[in-house]
Amino acid sequence: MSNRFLPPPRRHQCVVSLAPHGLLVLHFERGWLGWKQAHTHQVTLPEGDDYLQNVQTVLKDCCRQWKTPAASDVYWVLAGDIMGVVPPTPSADDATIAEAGAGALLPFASGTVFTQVDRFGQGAEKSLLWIHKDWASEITRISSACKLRAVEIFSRAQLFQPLCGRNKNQISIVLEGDKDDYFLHIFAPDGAILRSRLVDQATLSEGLVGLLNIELAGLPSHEEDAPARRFKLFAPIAQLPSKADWSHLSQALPSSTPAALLAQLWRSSSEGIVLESTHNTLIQKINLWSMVVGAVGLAVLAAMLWHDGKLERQIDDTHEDLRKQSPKVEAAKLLKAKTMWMADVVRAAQALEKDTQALAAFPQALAVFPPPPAALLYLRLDAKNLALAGTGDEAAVQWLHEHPVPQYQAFTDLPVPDFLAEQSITIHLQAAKAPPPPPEPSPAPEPVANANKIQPEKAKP
Amino acid sequence: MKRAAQRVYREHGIKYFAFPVVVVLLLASLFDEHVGPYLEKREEVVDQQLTADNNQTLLDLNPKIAASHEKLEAELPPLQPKIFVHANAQESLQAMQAQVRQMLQSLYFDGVQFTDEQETPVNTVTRRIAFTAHFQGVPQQLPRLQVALAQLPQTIAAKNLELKVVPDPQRGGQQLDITMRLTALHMKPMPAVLHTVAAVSAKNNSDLPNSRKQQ
Repeated sequence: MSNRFLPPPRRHQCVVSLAPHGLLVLHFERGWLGWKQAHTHQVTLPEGDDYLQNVQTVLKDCCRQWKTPAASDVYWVLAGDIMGVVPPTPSADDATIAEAGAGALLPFASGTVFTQVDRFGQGAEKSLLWIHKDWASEITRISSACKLRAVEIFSRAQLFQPLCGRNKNQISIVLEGDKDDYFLHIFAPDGAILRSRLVDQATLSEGLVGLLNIELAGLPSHEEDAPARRFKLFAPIAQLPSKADWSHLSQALPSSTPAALLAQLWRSSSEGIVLESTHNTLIQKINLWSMVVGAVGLAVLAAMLWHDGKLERQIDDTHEDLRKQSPKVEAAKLLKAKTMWMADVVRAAQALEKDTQALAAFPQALAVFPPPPAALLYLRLDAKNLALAGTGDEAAVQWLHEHPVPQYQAFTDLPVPDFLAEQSITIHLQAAKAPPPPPEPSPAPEPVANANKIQPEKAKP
Repeated sequence: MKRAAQRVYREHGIKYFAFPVVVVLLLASLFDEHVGPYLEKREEVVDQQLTADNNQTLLDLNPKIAASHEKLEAELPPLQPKIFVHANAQESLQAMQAQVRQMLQSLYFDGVQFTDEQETPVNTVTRRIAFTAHFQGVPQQLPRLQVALAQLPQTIAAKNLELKVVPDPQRGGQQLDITMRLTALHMKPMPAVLHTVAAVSAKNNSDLPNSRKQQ
């Protein structure tokens, strides 16, 4: 475990896929929205003694060019010529027994290889991934030379497990690669790897079907289901055998790019052979964040309790003050209530006094009505209008036009009321109450001349 | 991340994943215990502050209220007897109709009828009560009606007046058909608690508690 309290932030990771004639390098970078694929570099490498040196050179160039920080994690994906697979042991019923029982099938002494059970799939029988420690050391050395930290090694066959794990009840065979490098992988119905090997061009040119028959014959068989076995071949269209040669199912390999398959494997939960453990970092992060959340929560709680005590004292003080103030406040409230009650009564009474003016115009209306033979038959008075109707002659009407009622505007015509419609009504007039006179203008300002006259006085100290 | 979580779970079970959950649950439990009383205290402080501010405003206004009270105490006594004071508006309306009926009958008006009784609130204390009076008479009675109305103990205002000259079938000749809309004020008696209130001297504000200042 690291001595440092906080693990260094790892924001860059690389995935390297190694083939006999090629190298594919992916660079991932973590941003605010998660990991994203930042760079991809693919190069063809010649076979020879300086093959590994070339791999190191290319990888180092990539790291320098992409400015990958030192000690960034790198994941390796290796083909069957370096990384071997021991198929599931039929007698085994769990991963531990498979690992222990497969020791006899390893081509090297068990102390000289690294192994890892491939846990892909739901089946109880698991295959075993292995790599010789010399190769693992070489991979670690190349990574260190490029200032990277090799953390995990995957088998190239694991790239196709998601595809083949879906083919229930049939064994899947995958032939993949391009003109220089072809690889053959065979998977159990649950996706467990049965075989993974390199296929050279010469073998392939002798005929794919012959090669497949040899490989299938070499598979460990369960005696009870051997006759019912079904196979499905995935291969590039150019390599697919004819129906006459291959009696089983066959299908063109889905056209995913190698980089996409590598990224898919890197993001998946598939496990390879661990060189450097990385999950302790997760444990450190979980513990650290839990403690941070706990500390922040306790700090907030402590602040709240401190403020709670302060509020309690403030409440007690204010309560005491309000209690002392209470008699004066109650007296003031009662006085206010009584004053408002009295004000309401006075206002309402004064408003009613104004309404008593409606009858005031009655004697005035009678006073201005012309003398006989004119006769008043109808009179209506309210706060705003006066209306009257009666019999008489044109002189009476003229009289009323010349003698308006005081505080009323001039008379205008009034429609004859219905109950007088049958009589000969000559006088039918109405008048609206005149608006109150405007307030007297304020005294005129002093003439400017006078103002000028006093200016020198103002200027005096 | 998924790969690392898978390995942590395989090696250590749920121990490390449960740790943050336990921390959060512990904090939630502690907060649940203390947040409720704390928030209640905060609300209480706000309420107390509001009450104290209102009291202060009231006490600040008290001198002005006392001055208004003194002025109104001079204005109210002559006005109050002119208002119908009863337990409810209906009683006041009946009292007003009784007065008007008695007045009209004493002036020898005939066919007195009351219609369209109405009561409308003027403010929280008073209500306007009104009705329409319908009766017959002769022109000579009208000036006396005006005088009698003005002499009633309570103020009864004539909102409008309509006179029609119509035939008098009983005595022959003509008579006046009079319609008046009359209105007056009703109020309930002053609440007993207000009777005892006297103006609070403005000097009461000078000895407020010092600790009433903003905390």
